[in-house]
Amino acid sequence: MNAQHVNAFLEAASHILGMYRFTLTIGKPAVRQTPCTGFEVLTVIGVSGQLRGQVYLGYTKEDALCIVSNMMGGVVVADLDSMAQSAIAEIGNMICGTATIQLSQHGMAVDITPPAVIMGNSVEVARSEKSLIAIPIQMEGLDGMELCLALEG
Amino acid sequence: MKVLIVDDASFMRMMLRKMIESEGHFVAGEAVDGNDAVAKYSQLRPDLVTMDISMPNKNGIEAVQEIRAIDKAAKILMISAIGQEPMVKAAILGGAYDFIMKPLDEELFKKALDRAARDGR
Repeated sequence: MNAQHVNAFLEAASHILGMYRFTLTIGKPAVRQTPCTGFEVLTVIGVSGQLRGQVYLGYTKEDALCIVSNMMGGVVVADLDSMAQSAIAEIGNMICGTATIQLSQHGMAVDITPPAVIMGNSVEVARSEKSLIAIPIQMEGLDGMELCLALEG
Repeated sequence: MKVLIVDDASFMRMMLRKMIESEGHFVAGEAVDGNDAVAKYSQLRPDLVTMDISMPNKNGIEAVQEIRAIDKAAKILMISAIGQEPMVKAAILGGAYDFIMKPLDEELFKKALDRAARDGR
């Protein structure tokens, strides 16, 4: 994984969330062993091809509700029901889909799996593989999310 | 206009249904993947299909080809993520009628619906 790979995902996140009227500030990347610790909503997307591994997107419950609300045109969303979970999954799908297309423009053939959404108060992902890169993403008026890339290739 | 929505994400199906119905059209059915789309097309014979590209089991491009084999007049509006231009091109070559990018811009989507309704089948 190099800077070009990381930038593809960050640019995709800025673009897709920007379409839903969120302005992102990218924080300092850090090397970690576990992704998105402390977040209540986690999206996991598998990556295969010339990059392999997982992409994790972590949100607080409040931020996830706010993102879903903007995706639905501003209606108040009170619960992360199955429809809201589908919306959160779709955001991950759009971000990773856009990133893979950017990577393909640099000659990399990369595919993604359908996203899985995991929710809980203290979700922790145990990984036996190598370390990952965690990037905090601040959004105006929100708690902020975390993008974690555990990719090889 | 009678519309069949094809998307594996329930959220996208819900948003598309809202926009289609708000324009006075009728959602004849929803399909969750390409196989479901081909089966529902045969059964419902809609005036327009909104077709996602990336779906499990059978993707939107394969579904377009199969639907067009059933009905050469089938009108299919591709809904693709930004950057999927090569796939959109493949779908258009396979017989898709029009395309629009995700995330959906409501006004652009309504214009695409209007175009489809004006052109008839």
